[in-house]
Amino acid sequence: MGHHRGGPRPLEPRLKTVDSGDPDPVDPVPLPADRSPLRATVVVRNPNGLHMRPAMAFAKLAGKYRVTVKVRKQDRAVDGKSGMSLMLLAAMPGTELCLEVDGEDAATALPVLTEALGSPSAEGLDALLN
Amino acid sequence: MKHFLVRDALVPALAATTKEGAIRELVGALQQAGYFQPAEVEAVVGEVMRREGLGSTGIGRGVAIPHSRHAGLPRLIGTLGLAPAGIPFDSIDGQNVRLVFLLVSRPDQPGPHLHALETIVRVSESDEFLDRLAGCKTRDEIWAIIEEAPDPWSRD
Repeated sequence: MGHHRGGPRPLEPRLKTVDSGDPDPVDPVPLPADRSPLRATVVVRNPNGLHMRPAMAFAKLAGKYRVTVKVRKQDRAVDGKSGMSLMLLAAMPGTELCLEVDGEDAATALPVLTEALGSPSAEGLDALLN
Repeated sequence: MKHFLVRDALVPALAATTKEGAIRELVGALQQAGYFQPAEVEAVVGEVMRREGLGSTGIGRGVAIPHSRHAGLPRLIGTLGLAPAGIPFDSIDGQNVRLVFLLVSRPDQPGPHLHALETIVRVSESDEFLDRLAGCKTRDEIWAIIEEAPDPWSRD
């Protein structure tokens, strides 16, 4: 379930030379925002799979964040903010899913959504909603 | 869908006007078709209603999939009831429901239940399909549409 950034790491900022005559020598050049989505691999732990209740609860939880959420099973990817779409995956217990989160809240959302998607019970998922 | 819907339990025109009434009518139809003992009906209705209490199974677009598990079934079974006038179901989109798919699965077999959900959600993406189903007047008309609906392939 390791989290990792997709895509290459950003380049290190170039070190400023000490006597460059730069009027503003203190602040480093800001890095460009890393816009690549955050990803996690999640195994479905619910003994009944990703059935209606966990699918709906996950979509509701995902909807709380300013992110786009994709859930992928092999070559099928669906919108993680739609409970109906998640049911199209028919993900059995033990299925490995790839969770992909992109946007402003991505760093906050990823650990919560990772826990939610791997929750062993719908009740556990409901608890994350409250 | 033809693999889990019971032809003899299809209800072309639900008499019920409430969620519980519709569920009771559909469980009764499955019982009449021979899948439950008369004494089991109340327990199944109660279990389906308990599940509804955890969150409505009205998934929007006029479709609901009330469901429960029940020990002793040979396999997952389901039926479909049509409600042309619409039934309030506390659906996710607030719309009344005109197609009620009731599913009862074996407690030890999550796979068929997941695939039945997948199938119903997939056909529900087509307005044309939903309109055709909702317009049926007889069991035979419903079954003809169900027979031609593709079952999702299993990739598990």
